[in-house]
Amino acid sequence: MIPFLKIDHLSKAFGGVKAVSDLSIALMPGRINAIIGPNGAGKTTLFNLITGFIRPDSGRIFFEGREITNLPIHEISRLGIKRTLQVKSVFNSMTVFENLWITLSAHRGHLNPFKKAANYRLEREEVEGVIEQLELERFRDREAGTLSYGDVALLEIGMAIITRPRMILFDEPVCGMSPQETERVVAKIASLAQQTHVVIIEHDMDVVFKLAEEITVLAFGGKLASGTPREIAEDQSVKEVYFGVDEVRADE
Amino acid sequence: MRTGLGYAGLFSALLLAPWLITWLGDPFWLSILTEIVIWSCFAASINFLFGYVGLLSFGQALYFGFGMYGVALGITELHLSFWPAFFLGPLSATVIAFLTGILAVRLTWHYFAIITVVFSLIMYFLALTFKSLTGGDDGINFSLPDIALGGSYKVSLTNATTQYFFMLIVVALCFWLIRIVMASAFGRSLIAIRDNDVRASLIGIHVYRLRLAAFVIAGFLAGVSGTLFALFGRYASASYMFYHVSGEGVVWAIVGGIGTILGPAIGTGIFILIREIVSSHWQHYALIVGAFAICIVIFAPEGIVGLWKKYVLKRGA
Repeated sequence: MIPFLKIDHLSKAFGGVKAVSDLSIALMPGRINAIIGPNGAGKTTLFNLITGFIRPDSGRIFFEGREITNLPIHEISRLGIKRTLQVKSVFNSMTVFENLWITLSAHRGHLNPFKKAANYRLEREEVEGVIEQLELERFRDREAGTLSYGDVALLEIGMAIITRPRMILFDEPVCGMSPQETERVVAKIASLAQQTHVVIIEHDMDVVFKLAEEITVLAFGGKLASGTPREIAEDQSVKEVYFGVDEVRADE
Repeated sequence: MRTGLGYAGLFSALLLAPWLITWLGDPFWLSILTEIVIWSCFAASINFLFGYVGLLSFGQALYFGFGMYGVALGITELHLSFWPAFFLGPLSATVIAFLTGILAVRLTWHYFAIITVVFSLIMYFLALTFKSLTGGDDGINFSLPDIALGGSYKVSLTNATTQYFFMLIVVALCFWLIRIVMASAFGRSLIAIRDNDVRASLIGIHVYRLRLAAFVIAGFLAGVSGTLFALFGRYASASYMFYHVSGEGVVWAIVGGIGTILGPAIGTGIFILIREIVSSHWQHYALIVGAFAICIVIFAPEGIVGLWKKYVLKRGA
């Protein structure tokens, strides 16, 4: 099998702190990949590097065989790599419909300043489809800034999937959610794995073990272990670093 | 639909204004109305940046000034006829907006505000330095060429009513252009950037390029209003490049209602009227202007158009 995402000796330091150091990962298609690790392990930095938010000091990133290192954010996005953020991020003054519509239009590069937004019929239909799929019909014309946290999270997922991306990176998708909201989002993510590559960062181990078929554990900016959930659960080094049973030895 | 009717109503009222003013008997107010129309376009320029893409510029006077000098020098130095000179104003403002924008839109928020002030100060002092060309603060005067309207038919802006209609048509076209652009995917992308520039780039919007495009459009609008103002006053002066002119425009746009099409025009109208009515009775009229602006910002941050939408339209619906 060919990996869809290949990270090759990637390093990034902030001042003297090595957030990611000489990290190499290959993620295989056809399964949900989870990236876990204690706080400060470099998970979000890794997402930031993949999506072009920051540039690596060294190393390379390949997506579906194509190098994407150092590409600007919007270009990476147009390659079909979409991302949700830890703090849910949508366009607050726009309605749910407009949020989805502008996302689709931006992805397709529609920028004609003289064609009325309302005249893009194909996009309108696709937007209605996604609204239905996410069961957000009630909120179609509500401004996104007035929605509940869980609904904003769903909208953000909708904005990721409406473009039929090649890969979605979820950064702590259920962080701060009620159990019901978590369930909704987990079910949504699980169903996405059929259509696209899914990578999640998550602290909630129930969610990780429910969703992921392949787990990569990061610690101190490097890869500690990778394997199936069962392998990871039994891995001694992961237990030591991640689950904190090693605190005594670390003090020595 | 209802907003469409509103625009049509306002435009018809403005079309009838010259006869109304003649009927009321004081032609002085026609020239005030002309001035309001011209400066509305300047406030619209500030609103285009701040209201639609979230960049607060205190340097739009620079492009206003280039519009003024474009048309003035076109007539005095290049001896152009009316139309080429008329287009030279907005063109030079647009070119300068593009060149300065390349640097300015790399920044946002207060950094952006500061660099726009810096650019306009640099150009202001350059204009003072090249006094032989620009006339410095005293400015340069010119006489108006006739406007050729096809064949041998000519009109002249020396007729106050003709002048008013000319300004009104040009500014109305600009507002119409803004409306078209903001209803497009391009316009919606600007709003997206204003709301959340990180998310905007994540959905594939080239944030820098769109900010630059907005900056150039705003420069064009300021250039148009500078051009019209030069034709109105028959002169161009470096003093209009100074940043207090920009600041005044910012206040007009904010009080009228930032992020709305007509807000800037309404803010401009109110403040110019206050100035004209109060300044003849009381020289410290700026105090009233300031107090009024502060009240609006505190009690109605969405401006007068925001108030209108909140209390008049909602109640009617």
